[in-house]
Amino acid sequence: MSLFPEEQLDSPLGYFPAQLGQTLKDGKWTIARKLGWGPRSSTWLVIDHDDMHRALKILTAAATADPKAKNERYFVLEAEKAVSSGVPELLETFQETDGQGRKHLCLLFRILGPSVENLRQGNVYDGQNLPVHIVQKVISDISHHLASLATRNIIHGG
Amino acid sequence: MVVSPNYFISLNIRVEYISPVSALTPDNFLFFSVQRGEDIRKALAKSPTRKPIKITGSDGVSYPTVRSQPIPNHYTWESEEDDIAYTEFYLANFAHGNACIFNWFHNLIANSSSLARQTTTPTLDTPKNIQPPEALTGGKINLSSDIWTLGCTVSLVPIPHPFLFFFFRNPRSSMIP
Repeated sequence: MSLFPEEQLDSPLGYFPAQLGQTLKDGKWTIARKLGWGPRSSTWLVIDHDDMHRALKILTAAATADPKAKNERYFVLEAEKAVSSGVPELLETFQETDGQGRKHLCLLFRILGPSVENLRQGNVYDGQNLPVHIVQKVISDISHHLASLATRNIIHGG
Repeated sequence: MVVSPNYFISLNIRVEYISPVSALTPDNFLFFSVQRGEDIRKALAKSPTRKPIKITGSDGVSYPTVRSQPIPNHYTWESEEDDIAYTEFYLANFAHGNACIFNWFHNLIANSSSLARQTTTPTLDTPKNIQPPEALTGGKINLSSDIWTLGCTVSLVPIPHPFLFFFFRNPRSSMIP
């Protein structure tokens, strides 16, 4: 049974042990809230001195050490060229070192909202189902983005 | 690399960029969000940030742990059609791309075998139960692979009206593991 409700902070993957109120990039960004997590990263709401709010995706130490780590930056930027709106907008990348001396690649994005999965899980009354019209809207938008990506020979690969 | 002047070599290279790690799953389909600090604070007021809870890991270290709280919006699973129509869903998570160069067409290859370069077939980092047949058989990955995965994702999202499952059925559905 896992000790942690979300990412395993004691995992050898090396998740960045972010804390609310912690500052990054020489004090420029302050961590305000956790937005999400995944197998290779955790994402945090960060705020700077000018009240700019951004989403900071912090890769695990293992993901950062992967030679293909920099590819995400490349593909996100390529995707932005293909899709005028519909993919995350990457603003900046930098590295942070945690207390154990491990390096973490940080990707700064414009903020996005909750996921369709969050929406689905909100229906606790009917088996976490979604109405047809919502599924149709999701599929329509995502298919449109995939088609735009394909014009630049990018596939999502999922 | 040295090319003999006695041979004319015409090489058209088609480059396919493939992002193999991300999955076309509902957790990567994200709502648009407000951006201004003032608007975000209004949204966050509906869902105050939770305080961290300290949990001691197997390494004996105490970690302040917080749960994920995306920026809330007014949409719910009960949102009406004419409301959800005005939002936009973003496709997120382009982790770990991989570029594959295929030798598309070449004229007159003599001492140019080094030019007939083909990388290894890209791999997908998608759960195997929704991978397209070409990913399992080592075939060529392209846009249709994305469409296949998207269709499987939709079929796995429970919906109250089963007809939509049949709407997205494709001739290869019988090959779903």
